[in-house]
Amino acid sequence: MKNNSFSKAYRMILPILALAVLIMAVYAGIDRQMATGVGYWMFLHYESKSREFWEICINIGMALFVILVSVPGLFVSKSNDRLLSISRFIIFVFALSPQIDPAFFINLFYKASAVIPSDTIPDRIHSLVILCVMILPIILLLSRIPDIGGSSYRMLLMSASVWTIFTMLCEFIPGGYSLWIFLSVYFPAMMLFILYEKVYMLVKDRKIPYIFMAVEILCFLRCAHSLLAITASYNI
Amino acid sequence: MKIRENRKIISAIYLLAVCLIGILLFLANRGVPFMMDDDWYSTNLATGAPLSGFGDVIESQIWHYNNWGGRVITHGLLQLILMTGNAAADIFNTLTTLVLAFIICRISRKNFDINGSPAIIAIFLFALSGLFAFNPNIKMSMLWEAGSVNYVYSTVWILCFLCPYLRAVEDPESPDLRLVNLWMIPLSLISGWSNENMGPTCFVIALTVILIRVRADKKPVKAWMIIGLIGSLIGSILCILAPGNFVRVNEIDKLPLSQELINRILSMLRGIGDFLFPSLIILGFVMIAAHTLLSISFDRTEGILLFAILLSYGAMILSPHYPDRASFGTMVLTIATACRLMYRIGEKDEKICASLIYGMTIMIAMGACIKLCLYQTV
Repeated sequence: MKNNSFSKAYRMILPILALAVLIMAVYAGIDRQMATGVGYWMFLHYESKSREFWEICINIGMALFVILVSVPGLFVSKSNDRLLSISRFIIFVFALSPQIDPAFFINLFYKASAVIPSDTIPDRIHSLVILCVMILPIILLLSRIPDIGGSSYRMLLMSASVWTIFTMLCEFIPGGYSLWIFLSVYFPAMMLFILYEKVYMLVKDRKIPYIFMAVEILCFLRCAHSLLAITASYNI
Repeated sequence: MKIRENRKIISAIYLLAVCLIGILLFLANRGVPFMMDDDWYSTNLATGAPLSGFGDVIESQIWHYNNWGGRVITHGLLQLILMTGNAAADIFNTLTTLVLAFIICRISRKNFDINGSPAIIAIFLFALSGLFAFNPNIKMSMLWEAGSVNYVYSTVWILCFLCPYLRAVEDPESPDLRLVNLWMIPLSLISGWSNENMGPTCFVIALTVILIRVRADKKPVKAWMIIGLIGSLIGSILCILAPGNFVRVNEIDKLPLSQELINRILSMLRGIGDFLFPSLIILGFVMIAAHTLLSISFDRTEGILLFAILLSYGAMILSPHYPDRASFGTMVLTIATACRLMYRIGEKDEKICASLIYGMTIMIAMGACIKLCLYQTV
């Protein structure tokens, strides 16, 4: 009974949390882009346009980007849990980014342009370790569990491994730190999410177990910390 | 026959991996010499002269207690280790880390024999590599001598202190450990006296176990339980109320209450969203696998461990700073809880246990090796 009412409340809370992540991401994106990223670069190179113009462009770009990020949630969910599923996916993708700083997503545009020097090698290796440690074991674990395993999930597992190898190669190719690294995060996160959804579907009735809530709120806290960290008020 | 042979091969591979991590850890320790606070603690704190014997350590710690802080036990041990030199300290650090991984396995299960499967070595490897893979700052918490003594060494005796209490919760009928009434006196005192967040956590856990025993199990409280409770309380008081703490607090510029509150909330957010996130997310997924897929219901021991995680994390709100290395104790408790659940999954379904333990352990051990290698190249 208690869990039922918690579940109902949680179904309303999670979309709000996901929306908060999106808003924080957009603001963090503007902050980051205008300070060091593509916005500043464009501002310097195309002085005919005002700073405000570029801010609006980045704002629209970020909004489109986060909508794109949330699309897979539509396809993997049960129809009656679609909003919950999309919300969860948004939170997952940002939280499971292997870089501590999810500006990682936001930065991809200017990383690709190679205008800004990329991070130091140890930092990037640390990011890869987090990727390996956090995402792949979970995929390995979930893909072997009965009712979830199967050839399609083994394919997902293989794809995740391939993308990780791509990432590792890109680490050592000058200028390669761009779109590949985005894909290498996005695809494992998506695969993890699909498997997670499968596990969630095994839950009888519509009660959401507390552990699921705890994991998702933990991921939200990670997003909140990382996105707030980018803004000027909370420097790390 | 074939299964037995396979098990032997898998066990040998995991043993090799443990050895590899041990060697990498020693080399990483060699790569980080005595530095920063180590240089200061290498002297007699009262006179400034280099340490020349045990008497200097005593004199230093009396000065430390009155002028700097209450962590007399850990800093006294640090000074003794610093006197042995760099190479000996590196050996001590490596061995203590291996002991810590063993105790994590020990406290996570009273009886850790899963039908003689290589899972035991794999879980040991998981515990050992988790200490590096999940650690937000290996250098300052495990390789730097002052950090190593403050976090790795003190966590060893804190877990030793918790061990008999967790046994009593898991099996109220379990016989007492040998001479527990005797060794509990110094152990509880040094556990409480170890640091400002884990000391009180020890006391609260001891109290909780006693309450469970009296209220739920209707069993008489044993003498060692009371000894441990009182010892950890005295140790915590001695650590927190050290005159040196007040001397240092008075030197810090105070912010307005509202600003201080915001700062502390942000530092707590950083603790859970950054420092502890990798270990907590792995624990979360192991819990989901155990509970949702294998219908394993969590028992009191897991409840106690989760409560200890919450306590040691929550206690940091009282601290004006939450450095990444301070999350070490909480991370260790998280790893211990994950190990315990992995044992239980192994008991329920060996196939899933195999994929979970072997799959996760291989990835985490690889991560640990990469991170340890960094300290030899950077």
